[in-house]
Amino acid sequence: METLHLDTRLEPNVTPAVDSVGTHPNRGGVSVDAVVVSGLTKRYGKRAAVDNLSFTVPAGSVAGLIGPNGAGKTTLMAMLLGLVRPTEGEGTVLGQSVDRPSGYLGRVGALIEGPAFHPAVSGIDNLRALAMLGGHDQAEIPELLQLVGLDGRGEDRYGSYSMGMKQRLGIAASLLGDPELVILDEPTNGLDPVGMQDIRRLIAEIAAGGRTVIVSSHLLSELEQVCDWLIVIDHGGLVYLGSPEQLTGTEALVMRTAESGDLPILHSMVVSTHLPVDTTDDGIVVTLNDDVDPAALAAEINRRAHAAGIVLSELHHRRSDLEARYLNLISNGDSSADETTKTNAIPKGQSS
Amino acid sequence: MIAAFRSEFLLLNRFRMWAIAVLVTVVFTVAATALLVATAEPATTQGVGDGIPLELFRGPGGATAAVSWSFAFGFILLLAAFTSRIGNEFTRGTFRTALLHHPNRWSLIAGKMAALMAVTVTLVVVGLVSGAVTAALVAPGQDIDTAGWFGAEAFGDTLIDFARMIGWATGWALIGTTLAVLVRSTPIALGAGVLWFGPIENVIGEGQEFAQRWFPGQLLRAVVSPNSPDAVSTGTAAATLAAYGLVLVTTVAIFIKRRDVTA
Repeated sequence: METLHLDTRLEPNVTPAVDSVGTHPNRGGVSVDAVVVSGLTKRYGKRAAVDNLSFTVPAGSVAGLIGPNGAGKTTLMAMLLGLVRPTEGEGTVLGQSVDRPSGYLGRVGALIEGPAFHPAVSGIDNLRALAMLGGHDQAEIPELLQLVGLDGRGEDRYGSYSMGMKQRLGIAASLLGDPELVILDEPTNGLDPVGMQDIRRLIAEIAAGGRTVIVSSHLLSELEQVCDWLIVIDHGGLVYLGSPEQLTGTEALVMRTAESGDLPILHSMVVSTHLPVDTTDDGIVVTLNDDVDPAALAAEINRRAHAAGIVLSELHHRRSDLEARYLNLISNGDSSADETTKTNAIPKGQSS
Repeated sequence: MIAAFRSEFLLLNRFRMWAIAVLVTVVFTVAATALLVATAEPATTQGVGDGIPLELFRGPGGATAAVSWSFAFGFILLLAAFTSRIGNEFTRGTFRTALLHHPNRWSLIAGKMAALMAVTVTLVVVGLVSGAVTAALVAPGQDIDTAGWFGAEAFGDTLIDFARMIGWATGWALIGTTLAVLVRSTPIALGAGVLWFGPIENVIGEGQEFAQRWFPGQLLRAVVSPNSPDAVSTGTAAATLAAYGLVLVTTVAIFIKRRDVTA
């Protein structure tokens, strides 16, 4: 039987595209990890808010820190920002130890636990006060207000701002001093869908400048569009680390024949794609990879099946379901994350 | 610390803040001074707990002596101001936001307190002037001779009274800041402060020698009302308060440095 000439070579158990020093696939050329965390733990009494967490965030990436409420996202960020002292473990931010946040906070911008400013003071004066504190240039404030969409409202009292405006001001504050790393803790909290979309667009703009961005949310759907690196935590522990594509799982072509006797013939036909093929009771599932155009492959299979006199009763492209995968991970904890997903996603030399 | 001071002063230095603060200071000082001067009695007719001795107003420094005494009753305003300003930093999360730009915690809190003290010193001057004018206006009704109140000698006494008021204000500022840092909640810190420095110190310690000697509120009152009955000497009060101040500063430094910032 003729082999289907589609470049579908795929190594099973694909490893994440992160090399030993953490260069990110989407923003190559940067050779230092922005954040490295090893065995980081924070306990409050007997309860571990963050439990033996190890991961890296490649420089230049937009990393989504995802987990349900109470998963430990804010505590983790607070440790990275020197607000909370780790009980155990170690970490570095921009190459400096988290034990000495003064060594790197000048190069880090953050919005954590929601925006917090003086309500009786104008937005612009709140930013001026923070710029003075950090020794930043106040001349950049009008530009920042414009970037976050608050131009014309900077002179208004912060207390008169809507929730969305407060979040925007918080993001503007995090950008004071043109930081290399921006950490945003649930920046879309309390926003309507339009506001959430605006913030996502803003995050993409921030990242476009080459900054590393870590943004947290309890909703994967909020971040999947802007993040190229995911850290999923639950109950303080790491559940998944890697690209969104890895978490997504695989896409597939699903096909069924009108006559069950044609199934073996169809099977031998699709095996020639060199793609993983599974046979079920009444159909065949071809697992796809990034190199395959699903529509082209489906058309080719349909054409050849027709030529062979096989009537296909079904031929469809099964898309991945990121949200379902995420929910499965966090609802079942570590045990649900299949070994391929977990171990392949975590960079060499590290574990959860 | 200079950056923290400038940053905090920028937040404080607003027309609305000054208008309210000056108005409260003037209203309080004018009312308290007028009341004190109007109710002053000759020392010979006084019993324990009576008003300010009339003799204090005679001669140089008489005008500002009345103002200094009146400040003793305003401790609650100062305590509330520092407790709420610093406490709100924690409850609103603005301290957390500030730390992200200025990670030196001790320097941050010291700068904030210094900026608040700068405003306080200005208000003390306003109070001193408005109170002195009030005393000069009320004094003739009490047959008090004000001839010596505005001479060169009076200026020296005024400076001493001013220094007493600044010392008194610094003490309450430290107490308010410490309560706010320890409790991190304005209502609880203010409630605890009012409870202790109100009924506990004044009712339980009433007429008790140990209270006058050791209670911080009583010692601070002795600083601005040095000639009140039962008051310890200014030197004793200052020495004891300096020791208390050291304890408070150390406590704040330890708590602010070691505690997680979770709000």
